[in-house]
Amino acid sequence: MERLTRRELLAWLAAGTATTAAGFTLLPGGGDAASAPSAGPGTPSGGTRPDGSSAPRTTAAGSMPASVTAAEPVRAADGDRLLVVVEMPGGNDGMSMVVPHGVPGYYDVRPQLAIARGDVLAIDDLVGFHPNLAGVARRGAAAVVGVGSHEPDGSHFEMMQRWWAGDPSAGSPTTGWVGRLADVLDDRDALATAVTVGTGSHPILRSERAATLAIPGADAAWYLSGAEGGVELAFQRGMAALGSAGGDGYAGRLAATAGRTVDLAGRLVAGDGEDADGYPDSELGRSLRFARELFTLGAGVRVVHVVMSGDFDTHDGHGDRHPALMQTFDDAVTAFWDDVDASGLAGRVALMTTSEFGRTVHENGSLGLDHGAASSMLVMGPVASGRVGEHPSLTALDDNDDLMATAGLDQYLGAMVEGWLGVPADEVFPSRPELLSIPFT
Amino acid sequence: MKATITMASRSVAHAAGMATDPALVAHLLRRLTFGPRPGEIDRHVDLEPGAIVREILAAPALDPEPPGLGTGDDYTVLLRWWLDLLSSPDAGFHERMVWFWHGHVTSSLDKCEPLHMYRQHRLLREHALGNFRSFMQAIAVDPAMLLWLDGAWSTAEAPNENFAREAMELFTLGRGNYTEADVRAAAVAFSGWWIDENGDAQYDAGAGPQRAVSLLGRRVASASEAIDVLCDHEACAPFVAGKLHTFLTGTPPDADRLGELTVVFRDSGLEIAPLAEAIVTDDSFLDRSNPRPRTPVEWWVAVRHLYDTELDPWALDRLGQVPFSPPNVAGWPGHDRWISAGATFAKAQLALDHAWDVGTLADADPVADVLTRAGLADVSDATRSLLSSAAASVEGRRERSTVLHALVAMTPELSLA
Repeated sequence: MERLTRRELLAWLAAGTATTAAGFTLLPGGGDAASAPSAGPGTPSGGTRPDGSSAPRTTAAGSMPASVTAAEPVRAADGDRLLVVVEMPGGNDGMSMVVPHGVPGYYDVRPQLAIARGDVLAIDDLVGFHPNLAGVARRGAAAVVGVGSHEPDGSHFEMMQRWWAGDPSAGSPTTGWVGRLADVLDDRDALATAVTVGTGSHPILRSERAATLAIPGADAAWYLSGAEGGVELAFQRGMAALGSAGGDGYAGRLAATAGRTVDLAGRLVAGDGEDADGYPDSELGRSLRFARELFTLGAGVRVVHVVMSGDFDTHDGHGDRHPALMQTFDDAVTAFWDDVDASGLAGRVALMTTSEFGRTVHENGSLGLDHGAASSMLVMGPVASGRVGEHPSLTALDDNDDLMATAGLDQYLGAMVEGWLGVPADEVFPSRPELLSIPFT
Repeated sequence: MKATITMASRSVAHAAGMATDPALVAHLLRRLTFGPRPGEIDRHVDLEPGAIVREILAAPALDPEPPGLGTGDDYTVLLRWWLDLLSSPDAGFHERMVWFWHGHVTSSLDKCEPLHMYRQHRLLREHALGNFRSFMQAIAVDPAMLLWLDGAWSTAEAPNENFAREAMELFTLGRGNYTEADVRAAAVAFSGWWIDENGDAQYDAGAGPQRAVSLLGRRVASASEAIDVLCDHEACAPFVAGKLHTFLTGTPPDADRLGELTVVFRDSGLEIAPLAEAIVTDDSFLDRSNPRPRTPVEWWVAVRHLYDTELDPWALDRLGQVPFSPPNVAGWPGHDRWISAGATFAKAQLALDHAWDVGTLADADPVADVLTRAGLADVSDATRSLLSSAAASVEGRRERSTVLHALVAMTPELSLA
């Protein structure tokens, strides 16, 4: 079968076929070929709408010329180190991701939900990877344990704010740590130094000066760039004019954002046509694929922040839900590293995980785990496999029976900023953290 | 035939004895309803601003037929049903309040069936301008809420803390007004409920609290008593009043204003209607100098009015806001969240996908015509100029109508309220 070009696929998606039974469109993550059934290029319009009615309509994309001239992808500046931040929202149980199989008490506190010692992919005598992280274990990862706050809070929103701000205490700075990092990197030519894959401007990106963007994926770019005539060209010229209109307050920000989006769309369209197969059909797979595309766009992107779509808030059914999330993560990052290698980026990319908190040490009555405190994180890339930090005691707990953090989240984030990207952590983190030592190779 | 009030004709309008600037009428309709709908500005310009607000507040609530659940894809049926209501010519202030409560006491299709969500939605409609305490009493044992925040099948012996925490943090008190011990106590008080095979909430006395626990200094032994303690707490009235003020005006109240609103809300016994009225009848509500970004649903409805055609409801997923599916228990984040490259991509896609379905514009002044249809009585010179250039750059009436509609949908003005 002839491979769908992205433009044809876009037309096909726009015709309304991209809705799953659960009602979530596939497009936001990028709508790559993997998510399209074997519709040939001859069936771009007249799909079935979500309500079942047949709704043929002319789309902008469908009325464009059918051929695509793919430009050579532009490579980012040589030597720049790049970072992907994968956030696991809802509070990931670090003890199920990096299993403390050798830490005294583990099999007592988790009578129903512990991972059997024989199933753990051991890192050392104390900890090991979840059995569904086989790809991670094969590639190697630093397991950073006991990360959190010394004054933990049980609120998702409070702890997310602190992680995004990069400060373990309450009353965090109003900027985000990725935004401040972008400020320090100070690349005036960058279209965006940091990007969140998504549709909303994210608090982690909030900066003083640097350009940061939230974008869902490459396909949407065709609406804003690449038209050769007609209404589409008039629309795209109008959008460019809108982008340079200026203005005050929110109106000005809307205009400026439009301008940068049009510019970025132009680059995404120019870089389209690259092959990047092998990704799983998951939101995280599409997001990581897009992250790799962003790194080779020549737009100055250094940091990409991805929020997993899975729900780590496993108040119930933890034993079923969490392994599936680990598998999703493992499948997507495995494909990502293959793509990184194939794109000539090997040795230049690191990937780290975050999550607002871990979960309770003890199980609740719903075979689940409630909001906890310290948790474990993973760092992949050019890094030696092993444990980083001291695992919290499972017998000496804090006043709420939660794990006591052995490292502040700023000590972890700072170690990535300084140890990997070479930016002095004190310039990004007002708390001037003492850094963990992550063994980059 | 649509009457037109444009910038150019406004001085004529004033000379004809109009009481209110059309731009101010549009502002009030944007903030109090899901308008302005085509022609709606004209129907109000003869009234003074205060009278316009009073007329909108006095309009009856929609009284919709139930959605046809069980007849197809229930997710789409339910979504389309509410979007149709939001787009209806009679969707007024009550509908806006229903939307507010959906973002405040959230639940989501992520964990609930469409039928549960519809039944919760009926609760929101019933209590939207009613009594906050009665509302919270109903929400605490609402099946969708019990499923969404894990109250269902929670037992006093091993209570699930999810609803207990969020009820205090997000629904009634705000952070800093309770301790972790209160969370644990409330979790016990809220335990004992489950959902039967008909989707109804049931109470199992054996699984619920066996003795009273201490919540915020008072003894409680049931969900109902716990809700009373939260609603009696001094932090409740200012928390709810501040949030509603922010929703309706786009900005949080200053300390003095919050104090006034707290008194109104508390003295009424937590009646929602007097609080809402106090917020929107204040002179400050007429200030249109600080517009805020429209939420994706507001923008989608505005484009639907502008295009006068059906729109893809699932475009709202790309835009980041699907009714009945808030991203988490805190509802949708505000303002800044809706300005991004991602949103620009998603808006451009919707604007172009449907732009061939629009009607044709008046040949004489198509730019003025399209702005009237959009309910934009006041746009910047830059916007007017780019629309004129676009109109001049395409051949054909239909093409001109298409590109003008699509570009108006993308203007900063249509994305602000």
